[in-house]
Amino acid sequence: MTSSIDRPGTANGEVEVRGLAKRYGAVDALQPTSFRVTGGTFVTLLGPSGSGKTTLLKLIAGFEEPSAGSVHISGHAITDMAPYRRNVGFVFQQYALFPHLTVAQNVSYPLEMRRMPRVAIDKAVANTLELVRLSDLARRRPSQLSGGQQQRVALARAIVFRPPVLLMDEPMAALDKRLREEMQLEIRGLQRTLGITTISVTHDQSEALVMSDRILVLRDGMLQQSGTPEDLYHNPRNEFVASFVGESNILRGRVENGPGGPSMALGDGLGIPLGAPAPPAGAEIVCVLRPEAIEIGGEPSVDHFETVGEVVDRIFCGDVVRVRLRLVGAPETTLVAKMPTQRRLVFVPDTGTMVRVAWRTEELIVIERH
Amino acid sequence: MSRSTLNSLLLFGLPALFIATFFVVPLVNSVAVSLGVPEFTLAAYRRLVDVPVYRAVYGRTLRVALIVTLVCVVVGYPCAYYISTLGRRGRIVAIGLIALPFMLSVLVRNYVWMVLLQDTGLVNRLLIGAGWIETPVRLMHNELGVLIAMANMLLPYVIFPVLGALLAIPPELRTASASLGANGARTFWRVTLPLTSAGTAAGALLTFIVGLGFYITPAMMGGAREMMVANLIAFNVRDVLNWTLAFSLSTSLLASTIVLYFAYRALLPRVATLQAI
Repeated sequence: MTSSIDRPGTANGEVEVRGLAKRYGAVDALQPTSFRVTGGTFVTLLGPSGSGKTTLLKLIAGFEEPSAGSVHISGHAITDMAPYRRNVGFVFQQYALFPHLTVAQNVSYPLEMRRMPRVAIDKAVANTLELVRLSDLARRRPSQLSGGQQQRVALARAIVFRPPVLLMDEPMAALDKRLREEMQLEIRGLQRTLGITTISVTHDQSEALVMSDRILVLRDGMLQQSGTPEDLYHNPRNEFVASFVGESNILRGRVENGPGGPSMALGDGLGIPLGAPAPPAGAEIVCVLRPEAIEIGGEPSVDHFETVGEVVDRIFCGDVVRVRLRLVGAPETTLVAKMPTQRRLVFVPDTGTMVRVAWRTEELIVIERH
Repeated sequence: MSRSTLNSLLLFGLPALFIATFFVVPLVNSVAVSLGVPEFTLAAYRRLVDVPVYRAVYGRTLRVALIVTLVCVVVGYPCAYYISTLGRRGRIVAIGLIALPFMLSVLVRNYVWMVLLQDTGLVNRLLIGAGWIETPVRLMHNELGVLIAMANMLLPYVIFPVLGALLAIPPELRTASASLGANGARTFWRVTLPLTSAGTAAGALLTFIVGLGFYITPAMMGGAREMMVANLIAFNVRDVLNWTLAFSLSTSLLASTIVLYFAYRALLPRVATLQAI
């Protein structure tokens, strides 16, 4: 050990949480939660406000004490360790830069706390500032920087001491959309280069999809599902995950066995065929249909479920046109479809027209059965 | 002239007239007298420097104000720090307790200190009763008494600015410091103290300025030797009727206060900047 601060293990950076829970009085901020984050991966805790995602992050950082459970980094239990001994980088939502210190002094801070020699500090700070492209601003104060620059300083300060684990609390929340998308890719690239295990908290599903190796979806203090972005998008485990990750049409109905195989009868009687393996007849089920899976207009196709719907309205969003449809035979059900736009759109359905509505049977995802 | 201009003239004009008549005119007059107008001579000021007694009084005034300021900072900073860690309700109670003595007349507060500190006072009787001392310790009618009472009265001038500076620090700065490897003590030295230094300096300067002009406390808690500039002015005005000297004393006191006030003002923007972040 080279300093007063413990460096847990040889830093493979694996983070494990076992039965971790937090209660505030009578409120369960986090139900007992267990998961393991492989060293070097980028994991996002995704959920709405009050889902317990930030609580979970603070428990890992040691800013809050858990009511139960344990936290392990690189195989070492750190649950009872003070935050300043955990050797974990943390990026705050509002950056929490020291206003009385320059950019370089802010970034030097964790190294000075580790009593590193001055020469080594200066070298490490210069390297890290170069990494986040802030070398020119080293002598500025945080108040003289833009939001994006402040965020880079916060990031530099959190990684300069090469912690095995980096935690980020809504790191993009204070940035505007364009800068946010730019920083998402930049941070992702930096994380890959450094191979630092990163756990980021967000309520922004597109941020989670873009940045993560794995996403953990939380709701009301409970882990809902964990998986790769693709997995979560294509196989949501419940209605909440389906509607929180990506956009979705939720359909409810009862399974029936018809002449053409098993189908789902919507409330008003329209039968929608189900792919295999289908739930048993009579089961009440919830299905998800992604808007981009729905075809509007065009020619009928044999491997599609074909029906007709009325265009309720259309919204031009730039890259896509969102079309709301009411299916013939199921007037209670409206579906949202997304059509990609081109300068010369081949087919523009007008409001009130009846159009072909179709989708491949396997695009209908059965997520809940009762 | 419209009605509103007339109103604002009255609103500003009458107080302005009042201040001009009863404050500016006497002030200008006293400065003029101290300069020996119409002759214009610095004789009175030369006496302040030449006569050892006056030099001693001036020196004592500066020393007492300085010691009181140091005591107030040393006692007041931890006090403010403690209050800043309290919850909302506790903080309001603590602020109320500190502000409470302000509602008592200075005279009453000095009498309270006399009751506590005199030879047969509460403190001496407790110490004798406990067997720690046999004869009373002289706690007043000397500089110690003046220092104790003045420090008590000036403490809020440090506590409130420091408390304001402490509360202006975003709590996550300390959390951030911890996440970067600093324990509580190092966080205090590297983050909390630097961010409150301007507020502390402002409070100290204010304490010093107010302390320079103390009159009743040195008169009541001190002996004849503990005379401060304000007492010397009163003595010259009432007892020996040397108005020229009294005016030169008050003018020089005013001048040093103004200098310190501008030093204080120069510090304020830094405090404001830190609080804006």
